[in-house]
Amino acid sequence: MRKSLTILSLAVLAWAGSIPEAAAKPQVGQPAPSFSGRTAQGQTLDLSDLRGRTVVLEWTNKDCPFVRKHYGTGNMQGLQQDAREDHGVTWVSVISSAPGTQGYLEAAEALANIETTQSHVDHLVLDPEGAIGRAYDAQTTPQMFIIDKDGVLRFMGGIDDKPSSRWETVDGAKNYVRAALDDMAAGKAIAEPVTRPYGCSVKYAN
Amino acid sequence: MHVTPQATLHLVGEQAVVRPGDRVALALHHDLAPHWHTYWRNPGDSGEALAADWQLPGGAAVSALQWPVPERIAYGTLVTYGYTGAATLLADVSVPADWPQGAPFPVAVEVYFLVCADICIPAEAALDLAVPTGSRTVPSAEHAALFAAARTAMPETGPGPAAVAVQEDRLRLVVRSGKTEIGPATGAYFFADTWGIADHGAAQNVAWSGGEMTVHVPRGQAAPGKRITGVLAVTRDGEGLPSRRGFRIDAPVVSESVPNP
Repeated sequence: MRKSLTILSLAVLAWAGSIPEAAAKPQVGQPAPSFSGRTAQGQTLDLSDLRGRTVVLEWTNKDCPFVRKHYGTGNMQGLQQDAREDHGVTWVSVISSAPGTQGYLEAAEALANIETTQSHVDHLVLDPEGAIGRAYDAQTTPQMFIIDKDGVLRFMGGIDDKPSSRWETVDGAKNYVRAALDDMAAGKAIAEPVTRPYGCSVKYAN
Repeated sequence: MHVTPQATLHLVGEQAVVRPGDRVALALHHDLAPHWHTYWRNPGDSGEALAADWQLPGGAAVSALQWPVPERIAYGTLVTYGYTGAATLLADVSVPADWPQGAPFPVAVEVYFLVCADICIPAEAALDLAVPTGSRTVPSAEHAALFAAARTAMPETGPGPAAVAVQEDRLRLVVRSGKTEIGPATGAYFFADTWGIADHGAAQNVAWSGGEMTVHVPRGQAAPGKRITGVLAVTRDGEGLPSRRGFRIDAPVVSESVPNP
């Protein structure tokens, strides 16, 4: 009896040891998941290189109707500009679309799209294998994250309170990213640090 | 009728003639091309629910949209709630009592909806219907089958008392079957009305015992509040029974932080 129990225990331990650990989901108040990515400019960007300034991560897919709402109205570009000029933010856009899926762009196309949309970004990270997206558990485009100067995640989720792709919903929407940056600048706790992400699903590689 | 490569949308009335003061039942029916879907009132992890903006002559009231029981639609690890194939949403409009008999009652609606497969295509449709009015309300034979099918697809009144206990990482929904048996069931899934109450992509553990169904719903990022509402979809095998029924759930939250058994 004892012998078979021992064998059973060993089998259970062996089985338990081979199950891969699921990646921990990002948590506000904890260090933001580290990443190292290739930019459209052909450089390697390490999140740790950006310490000392507030960083905004923006998941994007230029053909998603929800992203088109924010860019077509100029809403996203205005937020990018205000964040960078008023709050000294380093703005990082991320594309996690797999090759062949909607939103995927080669480096030259990605740079051209920044010009066409008159975006104000510091870096555009190309993440076609989806590693960075999965590290942040990015589900939708758009989806936003704010990381403070010390590398701590302070905000994550939807950009505003109107989870619609209709362009008229930009007017009067409460912009959570702008509110969070204002709270941080005032030294206050962010009133709404976790908000509902909405948009198109991120087109991860399978 | 509004037609795109992915969807056709119709607005039809159930009554051939409506007496002023009575209600006309309206159906917003859409047929979808294979592999495309639309969304329920809570779309789940991504997407957007259909929105209807009614234009009616002053004094006419329209009910809220009634949604058929949704399905789970998976894209990778994301799960959305919505419809494939076809779906019919219903609404009622009251024709004002002082509307002149014989004058057609104009119903117009602007519909905005997202039709998705691996990509999403927004659709906007302007539909209208002139409802004949007269001295008597008369049902229409033409759309009787459509309305009958639509009502069958709607969630039924909840099968019995329901309550939710909030645990650290999941909600425990307990439903007692009253007059309507809901078990034994081959499967069940709870669709919360409100985004984020549940983790839309997570599996739900279901147990049936002695007239009581217990569904463990992994929590999402939204606080549960004092009441949880939604649709419990129950799948049963059995002769003569519909394969899938939905029940409206309106459950008070009865206790907090009950330790996992």
